[in-house]
Amino acid sequence: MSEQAGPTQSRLLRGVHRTVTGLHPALESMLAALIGLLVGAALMYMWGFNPWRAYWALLRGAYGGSYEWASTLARATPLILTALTFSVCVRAGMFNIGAEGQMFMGAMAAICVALFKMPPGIHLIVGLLFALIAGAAWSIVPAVLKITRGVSEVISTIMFNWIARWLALYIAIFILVDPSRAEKTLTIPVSARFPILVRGTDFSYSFFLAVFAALVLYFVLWHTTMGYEVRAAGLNPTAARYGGIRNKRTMIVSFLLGGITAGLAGATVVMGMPPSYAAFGGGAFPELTNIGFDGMAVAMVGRNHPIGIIVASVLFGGLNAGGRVMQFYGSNPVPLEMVRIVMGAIVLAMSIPELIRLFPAIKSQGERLVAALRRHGRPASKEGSA
Amino acid sequence: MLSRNVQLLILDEPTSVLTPLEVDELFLLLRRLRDAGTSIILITHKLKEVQSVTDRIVVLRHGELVGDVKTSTATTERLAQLMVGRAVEGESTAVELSAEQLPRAGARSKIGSSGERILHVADLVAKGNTGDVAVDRLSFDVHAGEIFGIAGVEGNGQSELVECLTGLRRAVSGIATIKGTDILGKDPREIYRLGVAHIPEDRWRLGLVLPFTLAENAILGVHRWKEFRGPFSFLRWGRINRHVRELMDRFEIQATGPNAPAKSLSGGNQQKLIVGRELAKNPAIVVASQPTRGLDIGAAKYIRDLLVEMRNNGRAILLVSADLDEVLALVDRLAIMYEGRFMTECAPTDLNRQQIGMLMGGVERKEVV
Repeated sequence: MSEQAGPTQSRLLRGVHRTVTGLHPALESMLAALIGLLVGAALMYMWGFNPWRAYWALLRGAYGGSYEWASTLARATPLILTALTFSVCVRAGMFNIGAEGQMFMGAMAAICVALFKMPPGIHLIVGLLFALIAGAAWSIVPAVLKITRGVSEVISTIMFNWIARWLALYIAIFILVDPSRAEKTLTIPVSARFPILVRGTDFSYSFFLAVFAALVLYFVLWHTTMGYEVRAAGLNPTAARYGGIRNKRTMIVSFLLGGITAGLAGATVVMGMPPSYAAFGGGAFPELTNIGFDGMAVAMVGRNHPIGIIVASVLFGGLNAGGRVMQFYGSNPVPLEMVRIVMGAIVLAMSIPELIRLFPAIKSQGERLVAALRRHGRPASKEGSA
Repeated sequence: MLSRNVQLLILDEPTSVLTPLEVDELFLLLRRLRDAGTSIILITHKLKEVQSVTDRIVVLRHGELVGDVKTSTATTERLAQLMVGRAVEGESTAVELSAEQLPRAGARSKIGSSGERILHVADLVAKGNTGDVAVDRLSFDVHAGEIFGIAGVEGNGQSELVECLTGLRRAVSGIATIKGTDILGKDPREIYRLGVAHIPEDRWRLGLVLPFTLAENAILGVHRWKEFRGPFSFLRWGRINRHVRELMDRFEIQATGPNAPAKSLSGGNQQKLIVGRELAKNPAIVVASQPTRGLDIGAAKYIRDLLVEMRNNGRAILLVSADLDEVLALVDRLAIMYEGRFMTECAPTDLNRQQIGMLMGGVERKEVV
């Protein structure tokens, strides 16, 4: 640590402070991916599958052609946005687990555009505005609770996820329901849909919205005073206060930014995913569920850096798209369960560097939670023993 | 603890939160334990305490054991001498710094306290983190063109005082103004705007965001200045990097470049970065808290020189330091802080080291001859 000459970091990688191995972050991630692939291969080999063929299928299914690429990027789109939610809050020193709930509210708000008519394009933009306002509104409550009452954002955002999920279900079944098909919501009108980019696929212009959002956040974080304050407060709140930065403000700002991207993630799913252009309340939202949580994994793989997240989401989308091909490829295909295990091994291995970096923060967050639970648990246990 | 039948009892400043009556009770108990065969180590900076309750006294200074005396033979004067270092009888302020450690402009300020009054503090009361009174009705002024030094053993309210004056801690009561503007209850940004620079005592916790680059650290606190902030509050990295290069040149900061992470710098260079950043604010007053702690001789001298230079340029400087030699070498006026109060406020030449040592150990001024 005390060596005189630290390596001068390239501009783009300024946010990646320290790699575990001391290697270049991209190289380290590739090494981690290799370890994950090896673990996955070993598991498949042990259960009698041919890892070579399976990975070949995965690669072909993910990046084998324009159709596969389109499918991969379509899956990557909402993940970029929810990963940004998590990472902007991590940069501010907080763990926002609430992307899932904020995304649900964004999706429901976007579906509201089906209730009225507007010219094409404007209709789409209005829908996006609805979604980002809903996401931000859902995000601001845990932030305010944290600032005014000291409520742990980890607990409040997890709780808000459940509230959002059931609220969305209520909205989908009773308010925005399609009168002719009770299992789904109203369909987004053509004037408010993202145009399809590659015909015959579900790859739409929403991908560019996600990439644009990542670039905007990159510029906000590294090229504006607001982002500077957010990052300073996240890395050293005491020094930030010394530097005249109002930590409460940076908390609010980061949660707002996170809520906006999560809301947009919900909108890209319902407005940019053919063929239904709707949410399926009847099936408990198979198209939306877990996008918020997967985004956290993407954020980890992408080292909580907007550019890293774009790369990581393409990888993640590839795993999702290619994993489907793995299941029915060749004479001895890999069953879905094994596909999930292999994907888990890869993602876990690639998350490890960032998890190690964040470990002190995660640990202190955990200790605070345990302390809070003890404080509130004690009176109850006393009553129990009395 | 005592119910476990201890053989060795170590007490670290046990009386700092006790009333005098409770202290008497504690000491009674300690004597009883000693008579019952328990070994007791009492760590304290209060001379009266060690003399009243101990059998043997060792004195630590800069981590070194400098004296080992029987309490029965130890006088207050002798202990004070040991605490503050070499003290030749009669020589008023023998400075222990060698010639090359002394600032080149070591001469006292010519303006003295006749300059404009910059900082005014009256009846300031502040509490420490544990809720006890840390700053106890302090009053003092700092004028342009002088270094006002606060000496004393660390933990006597110096940190809390500095935090109050820089917006990091709320005062309980009292007045503090910078050039007539009230600063109590304001946040750091508003206080900096009045021309305050703050060199914090803990550079890792307060002064720097260690994972940040040199450039990012160099604008901490001034990042909203027009110079660095363009339209839409974009940061002007071109100007910032130019500014950092200037700082590196002017303050001799050794680093690979503006994008080197601050934690890759040595302690001396980190402190130079902080000092450079603060002095480049062109402040009316510099609040410097332990500015040379943990630095090598060269870096320490460099920073002392800078403070003297600022003083000679007509700035007011409030220097808080536990390093008595540093205080004696630099200041124009001196206060000795003990338990949140000033034991005395005088010119550094008014007292000899022994007397200063006694005041630092809590002996009242009138008892010090």
